[in-house]
Amino acid sequence: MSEAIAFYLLSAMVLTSAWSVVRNENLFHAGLSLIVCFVGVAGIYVNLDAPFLGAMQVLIYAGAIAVLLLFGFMLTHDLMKVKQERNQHAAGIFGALLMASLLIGVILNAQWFPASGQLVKFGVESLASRYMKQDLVSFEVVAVLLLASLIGAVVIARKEEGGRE
Amino acid sequence: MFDWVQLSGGDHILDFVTRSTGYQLPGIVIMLVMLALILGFICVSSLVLIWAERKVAARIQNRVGPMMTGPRKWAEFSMWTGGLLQTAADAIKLLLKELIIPSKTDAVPFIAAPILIVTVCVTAFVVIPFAPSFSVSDLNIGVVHVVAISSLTVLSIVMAGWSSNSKYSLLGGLRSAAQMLSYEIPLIFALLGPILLAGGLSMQKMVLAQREYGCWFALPSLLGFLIYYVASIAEVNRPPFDIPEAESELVAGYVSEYSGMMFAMFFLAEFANMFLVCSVAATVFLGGWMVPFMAVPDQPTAGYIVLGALVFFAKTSFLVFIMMWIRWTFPRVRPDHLMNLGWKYLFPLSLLNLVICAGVAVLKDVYHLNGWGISAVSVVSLLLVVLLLQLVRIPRPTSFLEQA
Repeated sequence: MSEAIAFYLLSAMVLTSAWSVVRNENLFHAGLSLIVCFVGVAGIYVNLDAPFLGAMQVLIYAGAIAVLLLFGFMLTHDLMKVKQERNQHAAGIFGALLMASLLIGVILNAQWFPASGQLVKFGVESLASRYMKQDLVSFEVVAVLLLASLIGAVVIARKEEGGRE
Repeated sequence: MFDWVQLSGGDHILDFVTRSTGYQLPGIVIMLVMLALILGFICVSSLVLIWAERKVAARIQNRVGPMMTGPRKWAEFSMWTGGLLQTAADAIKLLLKELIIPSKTDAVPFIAAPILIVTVCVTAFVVIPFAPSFSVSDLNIGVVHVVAISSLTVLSIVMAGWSSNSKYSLLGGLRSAAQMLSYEIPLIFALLGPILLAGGLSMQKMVLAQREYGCWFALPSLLGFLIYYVASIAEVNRPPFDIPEAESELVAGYVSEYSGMMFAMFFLAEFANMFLVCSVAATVFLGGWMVPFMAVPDQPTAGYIVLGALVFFAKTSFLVFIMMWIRWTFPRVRPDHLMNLGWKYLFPLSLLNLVICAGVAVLKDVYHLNGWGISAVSVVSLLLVVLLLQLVRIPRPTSFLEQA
């Protein structure tokens, strides 16, 4: 019962803040709404008994990525004169439909209620063994990809040899 | 065997009420009571810490500090008992002041920022084990919870900096965001070492793991402890890393436009955060509530719990005192030096610390080392690290004069 109440409250929080991200004309407010949305999603994870995932959502999305976004806004010249433009309705609707069809497909095909005794115990340990045993190769591939992007960022940001700005 | 350690403070209240009145309290009541208790604890501890900060500063600068508030007799007794009521008087003054919201501010984030920073602080305190079986809730993701929730502090500072609509606030907010984002990484990596040794994330398990190893984690992961301590000073924006609120350049940084109660909330959160990072350090690296040279009992005993709480507060207060000592001893660091230190020194060293901890954990599993064995291995590995650092030439940060 209390889980259901928490779920509906969190869903309302996520949906309203997501709406505000898209519709708010003030870019800084839109960015703040994005963080509220991330925290709401983290709350849903915790409600689903996956607190580690929730903590990671807060740490990485709300605490780092969104703050970097706001950081970018603050460095933008005359941000208050920039208004969020909304002239890509067709592309937006197309993307939303694509995402919705994907989600509906997954939901319809998922095996929802496994027989008793088959419930997988989900925790930090199972997550770790999954990454370090079964899915080690894909984990490493992602790691190499991230390393490549990191090096790429350094190369782009680096000053030219000799010339000083 | 030591399951009782992981009980929470709420369990004790529930148990006590059920036994004395026979009435089962609903969970939400316990939750609200515990939150109120933490909030009270944070307020009182901040008042005490602010008073201590002023007295320590006074002692270091050969002054006596606040002496006039409070009974005359206390002041005549010694400098440490004079002016004990000063911070209480300051708090009352701040509470009674008018809240001024400048007309050009962005009102919603401006008001939300101080509320958020205190909320974050209270939430992070939930997992701190003040004594055996006396944390508010021993979440099984304890350490990650503290780190994740504290990472939202920077958000509140960015909000305050932006919404104040003042150049000093904006610059303070920007500097703070850059600083906290960079120092979060060595901070988390320094904590990874003990997490690896303990094989779990819960705070109480961290303490129990140190009992099992027979030594504080500050020994196998001394490097991690030092990195955590330096990075946490930067995380809470204290001198010598207080560039976001450097008075001579930025007035008061992101709090420039705040007054009265809202300013008090930022101030409160700053000191509560200081206590928070020190209590995490005491728990993860210094054995938490474990009483040195005394075995942890199998069953809860009131004596051990009280002693444990005293030990925990002694360790935390010591770390807090060192932070104050550092504040009044070192000059402010220059921004580019700060970034250099975080990325080029602390971060690689924290990776090295992780390797050492992994080695110690493996050695313990393979050779069943006791506390002395682990201490010996740690000392040897640290000597190797010192040797390595001597062999590798570390470039010194250049000054502006050399660059020109």
